[in-house]
Amino acid sequence: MSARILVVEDDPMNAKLFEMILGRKAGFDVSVTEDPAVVVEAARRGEVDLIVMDISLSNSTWHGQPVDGLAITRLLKQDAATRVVPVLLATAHAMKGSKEKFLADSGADDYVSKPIVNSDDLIVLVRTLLRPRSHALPPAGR
Amino acid sequence: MAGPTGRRNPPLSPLPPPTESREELRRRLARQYAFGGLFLASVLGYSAYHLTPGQALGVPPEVRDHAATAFGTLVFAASILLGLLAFRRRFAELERVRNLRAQLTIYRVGEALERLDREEELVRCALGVIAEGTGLAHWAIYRHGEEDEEFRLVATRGLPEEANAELKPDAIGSDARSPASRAAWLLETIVLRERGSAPPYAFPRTIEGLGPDPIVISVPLTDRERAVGVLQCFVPRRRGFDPDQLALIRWTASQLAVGLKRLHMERRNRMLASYLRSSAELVLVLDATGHVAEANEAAEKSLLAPAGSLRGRPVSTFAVEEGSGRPFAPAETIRDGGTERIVLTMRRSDGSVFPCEATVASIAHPATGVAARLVVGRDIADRREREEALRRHSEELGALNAQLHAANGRLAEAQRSQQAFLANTSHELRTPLNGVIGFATLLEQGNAESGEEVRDFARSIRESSEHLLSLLNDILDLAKMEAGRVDLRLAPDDARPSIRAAAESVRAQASDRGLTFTVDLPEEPLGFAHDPARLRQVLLNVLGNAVKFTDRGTVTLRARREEGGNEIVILVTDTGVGIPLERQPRLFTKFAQVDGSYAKRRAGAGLGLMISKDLVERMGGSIDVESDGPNRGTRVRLAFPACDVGPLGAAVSALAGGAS
Repeated sequence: MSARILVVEDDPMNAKLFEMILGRKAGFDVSVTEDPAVVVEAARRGEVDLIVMDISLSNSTWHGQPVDGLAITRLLKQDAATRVVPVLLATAHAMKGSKEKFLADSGADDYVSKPIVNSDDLIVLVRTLLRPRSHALPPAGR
Repeated sequence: MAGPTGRRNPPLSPLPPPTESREELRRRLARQYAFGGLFLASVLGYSAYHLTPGQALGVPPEVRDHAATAFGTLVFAASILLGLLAFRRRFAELERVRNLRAQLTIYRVGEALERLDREEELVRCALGVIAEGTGLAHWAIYRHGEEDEEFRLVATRGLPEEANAELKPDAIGSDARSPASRAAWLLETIVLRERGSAPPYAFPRTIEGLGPDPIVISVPLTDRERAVGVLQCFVPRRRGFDPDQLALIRWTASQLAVGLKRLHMERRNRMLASYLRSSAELVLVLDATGHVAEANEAAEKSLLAPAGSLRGRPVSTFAVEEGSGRPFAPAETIRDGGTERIVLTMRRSDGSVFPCEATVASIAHPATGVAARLVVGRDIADRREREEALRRHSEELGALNAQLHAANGRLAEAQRSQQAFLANTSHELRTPLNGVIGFATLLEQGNAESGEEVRDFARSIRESSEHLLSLLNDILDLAKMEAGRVDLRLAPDDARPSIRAAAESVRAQASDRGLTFTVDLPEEPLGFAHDPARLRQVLLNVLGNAVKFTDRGTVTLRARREEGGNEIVILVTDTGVGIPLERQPRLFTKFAQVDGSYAKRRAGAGLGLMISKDLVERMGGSIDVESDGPNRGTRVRLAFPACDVGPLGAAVSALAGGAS
């Protein structure tokens, strides 16, 4: 069983790109959403092994309030039931100091900046984040 | 005593020549009459015994002896009697002269006091008068110094130069030993007959006519329980003095004290008068009814009043209390003995006024002694002006400071917005680049599974690149705009062709998103000064936003001539997500979307409105964005001042309008 990766992304083109890289290329089980409720529910039920989180989300709301990827990550990391799910921030906010700020701000496990120049590096990073849970190891190659 | 009285003063009254002292006279007369009587008695006795007719008459010698003795005795007694009579007459004469001299001396002291106006002269003249009047030759006067309080010898008479150096009195006090200082301390006349415990310096050394151990008489010059000096007389011991002389000395001393005090007062008066004259402060003396009794030069000058013209005027005619404006009534202002500070408005004789800060004191009128008021004031117009200037400066400084503060704030704000701009530009550029690089990599590595997918990836790359291009154009526009280098070619023309062109450009996009797109233009031309290309740019931005932020419903464009034909209004309405009320004021700033949260981002919407606003304003118009809140749609209203288009323009517009 390949690892299940949830991509939280509002831009359809970027979502498609993640599906291609992580799904078709790396062989993970990829699904996409921009609804925080779906993310939280999936994490709670243990239906997801890793979350790739965009930060700027145009359409996402949580209890009626607009939320960004950092806020959703905080939600996940504050709840003991969902804390274990690794969160990888993937964002085009990539100024100097952004990474440290976002990681500290949200409690996410790692950060990758867009554009993703080398998709293989992304795949390696995702695998590294998944490794602590042996059952979630994806099959090598496609 | 004409000498010391000086040039200006006539000589004092003449004094009869001095007489012998009583003692001397007594001794001389007694001697003269005793010897004379004895001699006469002897001659008469002898002749009576030897030569008288008794011998010739043959009177027995026993009888003759007795007769001669009796006769001689008789003659002797008679001569003594006569002598005594003469002695008495002479003595009376002597007394008369002495009294006359004493009286004259008293008179002359008075004369000297009246005439002399310099202390030095007065002292010297008094010494002369008393020396002549008493017949005593050796004198000294001690005084307090004018500046310091040191007690010292100021004048001598009949004493040699060395004595001046010798007569150094002790400081006045309970432990003073020199007779002059003791007299000044005790305020009593001291007659020192023996040296006793007196220090050597109390006595001048033996000098001619004085002999050793003179009697020293020290009389204080007193003024109200205070010694202002001491008059001292040295009397030869063998000569002595009588009570009349002592009385005369004491009288002179008291008169001299009065004279010295008068001089002192006169000097002070002169000083005060000159102070008042030269004072820069206004000085007014007011009588009990508030009339000016005295006014100094400064007061007259300040009030532009001719010299002496203030005297007698009621003060209320030229002074009112500042603030209340009541006429100045000093009698009511203060009670006796108090002082009060007050600011008066003084009216000059030419009608102008100046503020005067005054101290009003209760005093006794200098002439009558009745209660009066002394007003000492100064013109504070200059000071007021300086204070006002200072206050103004301080205010200006405060304003400058506030400006600086505001400028600082603006600078900090500009820096923040600059950083936000950079961060957002970076984000906006990176987002489509992700698509470009990502899909290009997928293609390159042969990850497409079908021809359809290859085309799909290629389309994604193209769309992302177009997005990038539009972003780039926006950024360049913005940079030009900020550098002030956007050139507009404004021409009064019908705007309908430009509006239609812009509408057509977004029609496809709108129908792609399943929106209803309505364009409502009037039949007649919409004339206003504009640059067609820039107007299209603005409308493309506004319409593009409307389409982008609307997921379902309609986007409407409507243009009309309004406000009585003075205004062209273009209205773009949508049924989209709207704008939260709190964000509306910041819509026209760079990347207005960035506001704490990274949510709610729509690609490329950050710069457009700002550029649009700038362009519209350069065309003389205005742009307003309204929304009733989230998901309740947005209205963008563009307004331009209308103008008539030329016949050609109108014709062209009509043609174009007809063709569409």
